[in-house]
Amino acid sequence: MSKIWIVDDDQSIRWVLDRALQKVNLYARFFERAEDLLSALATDKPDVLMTDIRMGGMSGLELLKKSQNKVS
Amino acid sequence: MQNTLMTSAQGWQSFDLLLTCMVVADRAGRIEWVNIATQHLFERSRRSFQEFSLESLFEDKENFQKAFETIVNQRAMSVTFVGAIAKLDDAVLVSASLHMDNDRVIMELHPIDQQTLSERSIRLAREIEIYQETFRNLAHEVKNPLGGIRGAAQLLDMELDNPAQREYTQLIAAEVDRLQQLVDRLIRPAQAGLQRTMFNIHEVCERVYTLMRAEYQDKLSIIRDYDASLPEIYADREKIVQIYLNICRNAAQALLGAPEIKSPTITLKTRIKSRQFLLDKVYRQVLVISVIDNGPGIPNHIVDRVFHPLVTGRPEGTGLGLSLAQELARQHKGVIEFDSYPGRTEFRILLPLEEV
Repeated sequence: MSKIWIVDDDQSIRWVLDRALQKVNLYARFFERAEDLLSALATDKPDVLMTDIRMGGMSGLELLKKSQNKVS
Repeated sequence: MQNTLMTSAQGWQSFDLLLTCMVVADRAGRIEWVNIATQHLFERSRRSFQEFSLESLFEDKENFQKAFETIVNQRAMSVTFVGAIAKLDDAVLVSASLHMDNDRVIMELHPIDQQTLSERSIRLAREIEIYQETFRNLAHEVKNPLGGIRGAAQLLDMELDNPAQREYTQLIAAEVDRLQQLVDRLIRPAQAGLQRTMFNIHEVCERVYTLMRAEYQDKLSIIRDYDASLPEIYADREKIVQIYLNICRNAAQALLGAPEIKSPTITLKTRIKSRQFLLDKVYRQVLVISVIDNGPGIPNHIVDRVFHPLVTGRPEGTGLGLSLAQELARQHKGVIEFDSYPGRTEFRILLPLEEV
């Protein structure tokens, strides 16, 4: 099963995405902060990464740059 | 020259007590003496003025020359004009007065308080900036929960079988979309950059004129009063059209909302202004595009806030037209200002052509 990682600082968005994915039998791993996802990358790697852009703390764009360094 | 300065000083020294800048010159306009206030204004020593003429103090010679000629030929006792004096890389606007005193020309300089001169336009631009910033932040805060609401409504919609119940979820989604659009409109102006090209402003005027004609047909008259000699402007053409059209539509709607106006008329006027202070700089040339209507004027209760987002005098207005126009003008380092009283409202779009 493919691994989907999603980061969004908004609880209701995470909830909606979770329900919507479950409807098509996909189970994603959710993060509240970009920093949390980044540290999880140390031990595991997703197939798909979805991120909000404007977040408190690290932004989504920054996360993409930093995660590319980590996975490649 | 040194000598002249020394001897004339005897007579003029009392001018040193004045806070007003005083310059003494001979009939040919050669500077003989300046007081302390003048040295302060120019940040130059008295001696450094020796080799100079009155004319050389001015960036724009024309006003000075006219005034000087009038005085020297004794066609008037004193002449006052507005000029710009050159100061290093800076220009300062002054009100200058010339008088004859026997065979000497006495010049008084009063720097025009630029704060006063442009206070309104600066205040306007700052206010818009603050409002835009506030609204942008607010808009982003509003967008997230809207996404949540819309998503939840969609999920719920998928679980409902009863079409009557799905009307509820569809209404939720539709209303969220409406809010979303409002929020997008509030955020948009700051996002797109400017696509500048050189063009003649009258192409824009004519396009707006044609659009207005098509939109309002014979419901109002439009008079065109262009200064055909205007130089081209380097600006974002589409944005200028948008600014202009927003202001014209506002004028048209004000006119049509007032059936008591017998012959509703909009005048489109273009002019050039030299030495204009905009926002925080003096510009050599500024384009002035005016939209004048003979409508009822801006209601008193919104006159101080017409450029604020969501402020409107019309029940069906969004209150975004003028605030967007002001924001776009500001992106061009210009400003929109207005005068309004019953029977005549003029909005002026001021756009800098060339920096000093």
